[in-house]
Amino acid sequence: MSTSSSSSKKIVLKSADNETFEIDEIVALESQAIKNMIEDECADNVIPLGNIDSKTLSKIIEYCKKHAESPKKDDNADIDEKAVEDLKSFDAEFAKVDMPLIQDILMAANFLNIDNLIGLMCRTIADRIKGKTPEEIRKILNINKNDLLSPEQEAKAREENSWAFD
Amino acid sequence: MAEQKSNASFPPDIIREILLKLPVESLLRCKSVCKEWYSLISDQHFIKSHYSLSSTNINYAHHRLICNTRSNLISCPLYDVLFNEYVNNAIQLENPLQRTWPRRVRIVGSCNGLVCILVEDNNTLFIYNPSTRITNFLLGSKKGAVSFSVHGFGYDEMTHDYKVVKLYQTWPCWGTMIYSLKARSWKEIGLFPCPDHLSDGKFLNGALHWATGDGQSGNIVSLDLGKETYGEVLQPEYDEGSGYFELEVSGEWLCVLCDYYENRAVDVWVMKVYGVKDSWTKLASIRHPNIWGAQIFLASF
Repeated sequence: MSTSSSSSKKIVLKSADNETFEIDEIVALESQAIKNMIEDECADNVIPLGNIDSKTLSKIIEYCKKHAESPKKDDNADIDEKAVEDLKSFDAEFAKVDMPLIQDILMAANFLNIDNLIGLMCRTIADRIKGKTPEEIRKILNINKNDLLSPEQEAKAREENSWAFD
Repeated sequence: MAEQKSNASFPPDIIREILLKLPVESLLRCKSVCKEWYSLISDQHFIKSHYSLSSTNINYAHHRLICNTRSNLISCPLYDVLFNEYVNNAIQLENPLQRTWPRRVRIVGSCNGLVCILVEDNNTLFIYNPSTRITNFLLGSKKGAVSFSVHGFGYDEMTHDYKVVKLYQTWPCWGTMIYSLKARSWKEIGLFPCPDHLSDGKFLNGALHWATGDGQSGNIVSLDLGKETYGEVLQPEYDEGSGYFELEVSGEWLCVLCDYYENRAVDVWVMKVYGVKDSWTKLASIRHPNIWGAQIFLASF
């Protein structure tokens, strides 16, 4: 890993599996958590992210790069429609990954405090469990079996909303 | 590789975010997923947040238009009505009375996603949630049971209570009863301060509103649901020749539709700042053929 000599400031992130990623500071600032670290001057040369693996981290960097490059909505009221559409289709493509990765990205985005990405991943999960039965949802999200309703509670919940199960 | 990995469980905040994005029907099913989800979805704060997200959706994705035909209540997506050429997924609302709909049902009003419905055949009133299909029947009131009556439905922010107001004709004026959903009982307050003919009240800004009388000589009477006191909202300065007028609510605005028989036109006025007379603004003047019995109404979203 070598430090870049280009004019823009660089940040190095280190994943749980010890892979390092050098990115522009502007990309790292998409994460509110890293932004706070930089502002508080708590960020050393390398920021270790002990709970994010390299596969997840590289996806997150891909997302932050794209969003950092795109014009921000609140900066300019009349940003061109094309940029908005472009970002929308990027997001749609980005979310086309398997469920475990989506969950890992969501946990990491939550840790790094990247609002837009949290929203995107929550929407993606909501879309995938919409219309599914409770059994299917438990399987998709690997819900802890110790937290299930008792058979009586479940029967009651179903009875109250029987029409929704049609 | 990733497929075999066991998934970390999400913190409650994240689960909440995911659930907030689901439609009501899915949410009701999700209650059976696990205990944590059950209590999250049943929580009052969650329900309020979910409603507020749905009701402010700029694409009207979750809005439904409910109207009554002769003997049915029909519901369809508002989006289709506004933006699609055809509405082909209108459904008949399930009848909470567990039998065929009575001959005459009337929508009294709606508020926070709830609809207040009156069965005119037997004076039964109930509050219906079309999303969860939960029905709350009001206990009957003997007072004014046989008189002609009009109603109003709204929410009292002070006590977090839904209230239904019933005005019943007791010649030469109107008696006023207020039903509290929390107390599950009716109580009588002072006589309604106007003897004229009335129709159902319109809810805005914590108060119900009734149009009384004709145009310039008429009044807009309000009833604050928190304080349970009457008030008056000053009307716009109508042009000469104003006749019959009707109240509506459009978003945050109180609206008046004022008919000019002679000119065959209806003026649409909106009060942009509630309670400020000078904020009345004439939005449009719509010419109409003078057909006997034709009704004017404003669809407001």
